[in-house]
Amino acid sequence: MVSEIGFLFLTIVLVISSFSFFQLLISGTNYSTDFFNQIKLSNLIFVLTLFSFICLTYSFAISDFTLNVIASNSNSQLPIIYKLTGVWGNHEGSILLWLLVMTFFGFIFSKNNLASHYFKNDVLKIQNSLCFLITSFIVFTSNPFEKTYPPPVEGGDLNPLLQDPGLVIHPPFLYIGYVGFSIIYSISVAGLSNQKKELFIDVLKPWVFISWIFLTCGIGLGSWWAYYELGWGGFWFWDPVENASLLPWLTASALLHTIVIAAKKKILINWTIILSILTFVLSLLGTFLVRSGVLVSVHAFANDPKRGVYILLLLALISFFGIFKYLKNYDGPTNPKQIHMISREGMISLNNIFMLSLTFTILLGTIYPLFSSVLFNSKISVGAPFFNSILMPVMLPFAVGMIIGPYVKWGKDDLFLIFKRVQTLLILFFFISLLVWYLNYKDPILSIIFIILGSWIIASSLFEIFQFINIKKRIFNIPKKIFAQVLAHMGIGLLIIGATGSTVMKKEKIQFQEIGESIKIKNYDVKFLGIKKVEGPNYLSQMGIFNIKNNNKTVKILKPEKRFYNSGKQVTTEAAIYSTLLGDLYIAIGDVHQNKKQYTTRIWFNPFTIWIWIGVFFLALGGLFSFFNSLARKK
Amino acid sequence: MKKKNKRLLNILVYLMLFTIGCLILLMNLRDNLVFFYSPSEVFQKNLDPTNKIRVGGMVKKTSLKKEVKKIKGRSLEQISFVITDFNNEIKVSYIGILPDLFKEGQGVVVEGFITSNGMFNAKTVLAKHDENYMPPEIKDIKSIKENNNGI
Repeated sequence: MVSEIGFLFLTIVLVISSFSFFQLLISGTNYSTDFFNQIKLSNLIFVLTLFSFICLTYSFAISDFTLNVIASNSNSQLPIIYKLTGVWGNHEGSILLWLLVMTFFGFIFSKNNLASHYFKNDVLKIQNSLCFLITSFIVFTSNPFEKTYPPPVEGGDLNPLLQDPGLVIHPPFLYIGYVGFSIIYSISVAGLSNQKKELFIDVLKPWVFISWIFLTCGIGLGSWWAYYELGWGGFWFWDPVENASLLPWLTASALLHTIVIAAKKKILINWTIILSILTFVLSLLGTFLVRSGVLVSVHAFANDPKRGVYILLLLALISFFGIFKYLKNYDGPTNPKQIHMISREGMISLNNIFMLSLTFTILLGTIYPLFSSVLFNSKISVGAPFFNSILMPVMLPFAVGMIIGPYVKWGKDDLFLIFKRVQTLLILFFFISLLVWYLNYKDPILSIIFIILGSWIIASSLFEIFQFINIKKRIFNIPKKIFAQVLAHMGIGLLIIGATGSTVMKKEKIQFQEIGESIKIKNYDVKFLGIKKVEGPNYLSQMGIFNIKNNNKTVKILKPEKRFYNSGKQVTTEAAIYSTLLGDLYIAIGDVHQNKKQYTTRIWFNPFTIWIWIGVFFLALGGLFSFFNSLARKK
Repeated sequence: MKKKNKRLLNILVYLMLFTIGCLILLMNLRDNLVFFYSPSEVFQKNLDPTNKIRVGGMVKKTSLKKEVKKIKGRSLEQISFVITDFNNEIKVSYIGILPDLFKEGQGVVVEGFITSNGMFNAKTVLAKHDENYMPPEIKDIKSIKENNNGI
């Protein structure tokens, strides 16, 4: 019953949002000929989608197995929290969540007081039309309310890998990020047909920051989940699905640098619009890659090619509409002012070139297998070595730009003056390099280079703040935007150190370990104490107990598990991790040997891994400061 | 006119840089490609043992064997199994932990090198997140097989 109501709500959303879509087709972004108040429509669409989503959630909560998605992705034995989050643990439900977020962004935008009524109407017309396209996708290809007959007595199960707190919050964060770019697209495309392009940049700014923050956290959470749940000891695998989330993140990062100039100097406005459109298109492309199954991915989920074609059509429609609007309203460069290479604007332009080159490279590596299978009929995959070999050399000039950039003045600057500004910093760099070398001289040269680079970025960011304090003689008066930039750049520095540590410097030991046997790794002693059988709510677990000693002192008892889920015959590995600032001790336990005494154990020492997550946190925090800054400026 | 020439030159320089960049990228890509073959293709094509490749197919039932070996003072598990596409099969050896979703009678993709005696030395055994998921390549094999059975 509830599910029928849910579907009814969804159908009404389809009908109502089609008003906006046809309005857009008929009158374009021209307010005067509108039949409908788009603001009211957007609110209605949001409320109805919310109701529909609640109906689905309720059906999951009561385990209504007459619904296809619930019958195959939920189970009456599941803990209630996983029943609820099971809503987005499958394709249909997650696309409904996607729609909910999209309508929610429209709803929030309709409450925005910065934009004029006229402009708001235009933006929401596009946003509602996007909602129409997604709703039609749901209704016609992935309806979560589809019935199954006869209804099974017991459901399949939520994929055990997804029964995890990390996966509870990862998809919503990622989706808020992805879908947040839809409102950026709507604002940009609507802004194109407005007379004064400069005006909408201020409206756009906070949305860029908020979406970027969520996407950053979403990617971070996903990577964290992969790290502890998959039991492979790594945090990033250059898998198509991961790359798909990285692409819009890179262009969005370029966008949030550019929008600062666009708002301040009223230049590069066309470029800002292009980046906005590109970012949303890449988000959609990501969805296409993840949901269509065209690429061989380790993360790929079971899927249906029909959906892929539909998303591809949406992708084409949305990008052509954006490009068409852009070309139609192109009125030459917004400002013919030249940008000097040696200036803050120049540095930010350089940043954009780097970001987009990276985007292009990763895109090429990700979709090349697609081309190759169509054009040459050969099945290939592009592995981590390709991405690493491109990323590493690009990182060097990129990091140098990041270090110098903030010390370069707006307008026009002089190399000699910049040098004078940073000479203390250069001396500092020298000592930092010596220190890093001294501490890590045994490690591979590559890791030392990158750790030095990361430390340089952190040092230069901190130096920026100290310099500020010295000049002003007032400690607490650091402008928010400087603080935001420093935090975000430090985040990147930390990320570089963490990523280098946990890839280049990691130590791995795989063996059969007997109960009572000790394995030495780094300066830890890992003693296998025994095995315990534990019964979880819907699984049986084989829990290994390991005593970790550091310099003959027990520091931690680690309990990695292997879980056997009752319903799906599936097995998951739950790694146990002992984190310190210097590195993670990571244990995964495998099968028992025939002699019943030895177990396969996999022990890693991943240096500095924790700094990856701290780095992501810093990035998000920096974004948050920028966000509040962009709000405060307008009042 | 002169200004126009300068602009043209600029564009040409950018285009050249872009092309060079793309070429470097593609060269790099070519060196890092991993080709995917079915067991039959492995036998048909004379493959270079120094190239890393992927082989996909179904794990033959009751072919999984595990034995313990001492390597450099540590006891390791030597795993071997057979991958089949129902026409040809290839024996795979692997040292390490098998992914959780590895099962006899199900699809698998291994990455590694062909050895001189026709075996496959796997460096990685790829897991899938989803028990219902099947790599498209294996799906093809399966559907071909089913069609053949139909005839």
